[in-house]
Amino acid sequence: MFIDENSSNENKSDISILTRDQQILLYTIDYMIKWVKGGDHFLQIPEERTWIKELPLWAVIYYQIVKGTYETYDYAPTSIQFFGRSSFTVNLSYEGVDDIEDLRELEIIDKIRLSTSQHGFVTAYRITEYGNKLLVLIPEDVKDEVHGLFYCKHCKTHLNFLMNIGDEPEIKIDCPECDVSDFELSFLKSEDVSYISEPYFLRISKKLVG
Amino acid sequence: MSDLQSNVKDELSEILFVKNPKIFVIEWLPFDSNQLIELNHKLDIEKGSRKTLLTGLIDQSPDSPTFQSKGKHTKVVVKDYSLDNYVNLEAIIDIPEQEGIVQIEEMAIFVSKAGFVVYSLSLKEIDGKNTFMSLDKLSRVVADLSQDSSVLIDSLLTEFQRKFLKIIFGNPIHRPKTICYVGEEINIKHDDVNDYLDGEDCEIELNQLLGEGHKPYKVNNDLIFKGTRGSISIIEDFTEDKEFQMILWGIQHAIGSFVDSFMSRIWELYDQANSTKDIVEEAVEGNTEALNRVQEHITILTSTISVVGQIQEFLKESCIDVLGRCRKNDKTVLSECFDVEKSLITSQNRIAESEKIINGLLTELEGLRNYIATLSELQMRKMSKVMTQNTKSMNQVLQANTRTGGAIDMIELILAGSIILEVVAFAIGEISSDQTIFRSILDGAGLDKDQIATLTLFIVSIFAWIAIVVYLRWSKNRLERKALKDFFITMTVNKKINIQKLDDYMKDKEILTKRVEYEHNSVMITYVWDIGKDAELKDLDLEHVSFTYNETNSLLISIDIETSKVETDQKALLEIILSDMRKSGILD
Repeated sequence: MFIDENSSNENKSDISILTRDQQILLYTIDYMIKWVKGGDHFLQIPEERTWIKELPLWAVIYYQIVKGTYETYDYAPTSIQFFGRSSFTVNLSYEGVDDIEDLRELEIIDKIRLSTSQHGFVTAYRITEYGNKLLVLIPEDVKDEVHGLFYCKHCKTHLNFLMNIGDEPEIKIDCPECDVSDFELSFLKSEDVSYISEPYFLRISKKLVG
Repeated sequence: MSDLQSNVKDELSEILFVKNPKIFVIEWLPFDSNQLIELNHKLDIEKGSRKTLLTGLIDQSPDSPTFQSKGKHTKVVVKDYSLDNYVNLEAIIDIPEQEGIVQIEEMAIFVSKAGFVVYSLSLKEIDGKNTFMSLDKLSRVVADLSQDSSVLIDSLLTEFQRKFLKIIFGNPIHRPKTICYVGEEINIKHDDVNDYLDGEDCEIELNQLLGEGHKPYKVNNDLIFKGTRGSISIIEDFTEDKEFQMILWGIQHAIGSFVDSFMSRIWELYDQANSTKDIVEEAVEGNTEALNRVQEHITILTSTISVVGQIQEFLKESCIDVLGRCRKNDKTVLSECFDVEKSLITSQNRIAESEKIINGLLTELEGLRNYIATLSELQMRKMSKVMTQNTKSMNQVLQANTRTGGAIDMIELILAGSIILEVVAFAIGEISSDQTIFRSILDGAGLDKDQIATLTLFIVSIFAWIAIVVYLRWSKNRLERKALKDFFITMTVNKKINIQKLDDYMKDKEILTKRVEYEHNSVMITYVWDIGKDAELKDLDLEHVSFTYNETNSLLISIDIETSKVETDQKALLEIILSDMRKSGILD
C-alpha cells in the first residue's frame, strides 16, 4: 500500500489543465464516492476516507462510453483476474485507465492498493485536496452530463449500482422503482465480431515433444 | 463474405493494424502420459482421421438406449499423434452466436504430455476486412477464442483433470491464457521502438492486448512487444526457429500464469486452515456443533490440499521437461528477446517452495485432526463420567426406594393385621381383653369355656395375620422380580492392592471399558468387565463388575456389581469377588 503525497499544485488551480474527458472522469469519481456512500451502504464516514474501487469505476466508465459521454474513449474486452482466481473478460477502456494514471500523476487523485482475502489485490482511488479544489471549477454542463446518466429516464429516480463478485460475477446499474430498463450494463459481456479463421498447424510440434 | 457484422456498441478508434495475423492461445493443463492416452482414446484415433463430434456431457443414464445433447459440439479431426506423447488436432467450433454474427472458427490444437496446449489459427477476415486487421478487433476475437477454447478442451479432458482445474480456478471456463500474435506487417512502423510507448493511442492499443507495462524490442527487422498477457510479433519472415522461440516463450509464460493462480489458491487454503483453528477454539470451549463442523472442514481441506499436491507434481515434471528443451535450444538472436530459461527457473523455484507449504499445511491439518480426535475422546469421557454418575444416582434412588418400600411393607403388615382383627370382630363380635384369662393362668385356676373361646379366637387371628403377611411378601417379591432385572451393588473398599497382579488379573477378563482420570496428583482407573465368559464367576448371577482404583497409591477405592437377581445375597456376591481377588494376589 502506498500513497503519493509529493509536491504542492497550488499554482496549477486551473481546470484547463484537464481535457473534457478527464473532467468528466474526475467528476465521475467524486460522484461515485458520494453515490455509493449515499446508497444502501450509507455510512457516517468523512469523505476523505472513502475510496472508490477500480472495478466499479471501470464499469461506470464503460456505461458512460456506451451512452456517448466521452469524446475519445473506447473499450476492448480484457481478461482480468478477480481477487486472484478466475479470470473474466470485462469491457475495459484503456483510454480511461490512461487518464486515471494522468490524474494520479497530476496529484488530483490518490491510488491505494489493498490485499483481498483471496490473496489478490484491489486498487482504489480518492480525490486529493488539490483535486477537490479543481472539482468546484468543473463547468456545469459537464456536471449535468454526468448527473443525467444516473437518473432513470422514465421515473427520474436515482439509479442503483449493484456489484456481486463470485464465481459468476454480476455488475448492474438498476432503477429501484420502475421495471422499464434501457440501461443494461453489459460490462461483463464481451461483444462479438464476425470473423473467419483457418487452422494454423505448428511446424515445430515435433521439436516441442521430440 | 462482406456482410460480416459485429455487435460492438461503440465507435472504435482503431489506430494499429497488422497484416495477416496469426493467433496462438497457449495454456498449461495437468497432463501426463496416462491423461494423453485417455484423450487419444476419446478421440477414437484408431479409426483414422474422420471427423468426430465431441461434447463435454457425461452419460448419466447408462441404461438408457438414447442420449440427448444440448446442440453445442466441436468437430475434431486428428492430424497427427503419438499415443503417449502428443496429439495434433483440427477443430471446427460450432457454438451458436447472436443473430448477424458469423464466426467460422477453425483452429489447430496441439496437446503434449508435458501439459502445454497450443490453440493456433490464422485469421482470414474480421467484420468483412481481410489483410490488415485492427488490434481493437483482434482483442474481441481473442476474448471469444479464450472462452471457446476452454469449452472445446473441456470436452476432451478427463474428470480427474476437470477437478484439478475447478480447484485452482473455481470456474475453469474463465481461466487466464497466454496469447501470442504474429503479423507480417504493422501499419505504423516507427524506427525507434520506444516511439510506440507514446502514452497515447499506440501505447493504449497495445495495452489492450498485452496489458500495461509492455516492452518493445527490435531484432533486425522484427518488432516484438512483450507484456503481462502475451506478445505481439511483427515478423516478415516467420521461420520455424522464430516460431519455436515464440511458442517456447508462450509456454513458459503459461506455466508462470498457472503458477500464479496455483499459489493464490495455496494461500487461500492456508487462510482456510487458519480459520479452521478458530473453529477448533470454539470446539475447545465446548461447542459440540463447532466440533462437528471442524471435522468436516478438516476433511474437505485435507482432500483439496492433497489434490493441490498432485497438481504440484504435474507442474514440477512439466517444468523440468520444458527447461530441458529450452537448454537444448540453439541460442539465436530472437531467443535473447524471448528469454525463457530465467522465467522457467523462477517458476521452478516457486513450485519447489509450494511443496513446503503444502506439506506444512497437511502436517498442520493432521495435527488439528489428532487434536480434534482427543477433544472428541475427552468429551466422550465426560459424557461417560456423567452417565456413571447418573447410574450411581439411580442406584442410590433405587436403594432409597427399597428402604422406603421396606417401611411401606411394615405399614402394610400392620394394616393387614388390623384388617384381620376387624374381620374377626365383624364375624364373632369384639374379642374382649379380659384380664381374667391371664389372672386365671397365673393363679393356676384353669380357664372356663368363654375364656378358652376368646383365647382360641385370638390365636386364630394371629395365625391369619401371619398367613396374610407371608402371602403379601411372596406376591411382592414376585412382582419385584418381574419389574427389576438388574440391580447394582456398590462396596467401598479402600484397601491396598497389588497393581501388577490386578493388571494380570484383568488380562483374562473381557474388558468393556477402561477409563483413566487424572485428579490432582492421582491417576484414577476404572475397569468395567463382563462376567459372561469368566470361568470362575460365570455361574453367579452377575452381569458386570467394575473396579475403581487409585494407581498412584495402589488403593482399591470401590467395587460395583451389576446383578440380574434381586434376591441374590449381596454380601455373598461381594465376598466371592473379593476372595477371587485375594486368590489372584491382588488383595492381601
